[in-house]
Amino acid sequence: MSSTKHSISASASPAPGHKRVKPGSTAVSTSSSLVKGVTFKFRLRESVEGFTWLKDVSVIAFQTPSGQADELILDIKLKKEKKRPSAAAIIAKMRREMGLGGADDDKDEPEDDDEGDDEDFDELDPYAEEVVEDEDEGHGVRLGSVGGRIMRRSFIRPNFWRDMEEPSQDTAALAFNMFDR
Amino acid sequence: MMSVLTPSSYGCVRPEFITGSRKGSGTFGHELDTGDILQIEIIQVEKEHRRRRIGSRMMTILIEQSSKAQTTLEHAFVWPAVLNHTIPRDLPEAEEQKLRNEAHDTAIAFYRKAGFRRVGDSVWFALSNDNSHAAHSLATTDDYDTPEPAPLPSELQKLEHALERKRTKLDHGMMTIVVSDMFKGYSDADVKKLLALRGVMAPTQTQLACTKYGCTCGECLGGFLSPRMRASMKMTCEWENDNEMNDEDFVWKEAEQYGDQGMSSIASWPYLPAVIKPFMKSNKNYRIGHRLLHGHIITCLNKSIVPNAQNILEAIEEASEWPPATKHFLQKAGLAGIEAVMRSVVDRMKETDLKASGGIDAIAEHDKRSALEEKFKAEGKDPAKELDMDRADWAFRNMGFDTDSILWTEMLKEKECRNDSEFGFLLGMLLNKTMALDGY
Repeated sequence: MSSTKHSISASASPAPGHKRVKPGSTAVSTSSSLVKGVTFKFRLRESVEGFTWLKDVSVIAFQTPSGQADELILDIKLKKEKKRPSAAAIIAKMRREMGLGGADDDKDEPEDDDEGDDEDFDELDPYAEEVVEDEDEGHGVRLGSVGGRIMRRSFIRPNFWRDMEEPSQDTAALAFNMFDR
Repeated sequence: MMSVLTPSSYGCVRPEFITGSRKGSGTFGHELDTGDILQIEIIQVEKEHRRRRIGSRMMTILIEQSSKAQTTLEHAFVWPAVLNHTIPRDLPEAEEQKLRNEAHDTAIAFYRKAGFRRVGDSVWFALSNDNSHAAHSLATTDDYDTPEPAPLPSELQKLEHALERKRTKLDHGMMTIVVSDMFKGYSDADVKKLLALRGVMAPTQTQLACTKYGCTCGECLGGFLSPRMRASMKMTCEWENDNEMNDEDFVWKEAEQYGDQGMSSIASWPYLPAVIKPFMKSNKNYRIGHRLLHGHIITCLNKSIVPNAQNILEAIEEASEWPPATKHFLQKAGLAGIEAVMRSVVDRMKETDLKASGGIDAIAEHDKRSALEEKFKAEGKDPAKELDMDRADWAFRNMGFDTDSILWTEMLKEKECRNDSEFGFLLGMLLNKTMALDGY
């Protein structure tokens, strides 16, 4: 199985050298001062445990190695693993890349692109297996972390309590203590 | 501009934390009812790296980046607590409790510094994504804390709380089962106690019914059919009653081509008894009778009587319909025909409900878009260019805003009640049945 590990957003690219990423222009600002010499990794995972309305978010702080003075924020989106393309699809792709087979032939061929199928598959199957790379390696000493969940409320209104009870005791506690069904 | 005035239901904050006895500082209101939620579950900083502002910086990044990823994120919630493993083991009980209390106070102070404020007098703290929210100008020292010793609830508050819990939840081991749809009214003894504590010595029939079925507006038909639910039921039935297209042969023939799935476009089809289905397909008269049955429900509502089977049959008798299409339909379908229509009507009510369908989200989005349009116009800019149209159109695409907003406007004109949006309960009362746990 191949694994699609993560993508790092262009705005937070760590290379070349460390680059300070300014906080977004969102309304909430709990603290504006930067913490020098620390790398913060914001990780977002879609459809946690198969719940399409739930996203997992976390920030992990590392001591940036090699005495870099500026704060660094890495924005990491974890994606679902994709199905490995079939041998036939790989050969077809190679043939296209090598210019074998006329352009017209390509057009006439029915859509048999495994990659496209995979995307459809991902959309349809929220329980698609995910592989998460051990991303903590190579980022220095871990200083702390904060974790949370984004709940897309409009998706679960018809059965709010029932849906919120399923993922964890924390989500159930929020639903039952704070909100009505 | 429409305004959101909603009682608590379907993922809305419980009313007692906003206007009730537990409203605390009163900083938060119905704005907590809409938008996506970020729940902070854990925060941890290694002991030797504390007091470097790493925790608050992580929190800022988490909220800012989450807001970017989820543009409809409106609030973050947290229940400040202490991680068990941070408390040393084998301490005397009093000392352990002292440590716990100190750690708890530190956690609350941390979140307050980060901008969170207590919601009502609950254990939960919230942070608004809107910089103009009142909570941002409430000093940490002015935030609400439950006075010690906590004030004791009155006998009436205790009973109301216990009955509300009984109506909605059933604890089963570690599980909480939602039983709202199975509610059939409080016991006579509880009703008597409630009325006595409220000082009602000689209750009228209406007061008795409203107390029994948990009505809070005093205007529920039979104590259970609230003004907003009546408005919704009436509009739903009007739509069906006026939909003469469904009488036509070609509509049914077209639907039939797609098998059962196609027939489900006829709202009550899945609920209709098997005996009537072939006749519905072949005979227009039965289809007309089925449609006109909705009109007799409207008659009941207009007369302010509960549209149960008996009252609907009386309305049919009084209508002297000619040709008697509804009678023909019921002669074949029996009372199951009324039940099928009622189920499909309540289904439709739930699908288009202000709260259960996410209507309040659509209204909030609509209001936000309108405010932005006004702002851009005032600045001499083109709103269409400035607005993120994908986001602005979201509500319209997903919520059927154009048509449903007419219904929501009608519903908002009516008095709100605890019995709003209780579809399983309503259906159970109308059909004189107890709904299954997962019925609604």
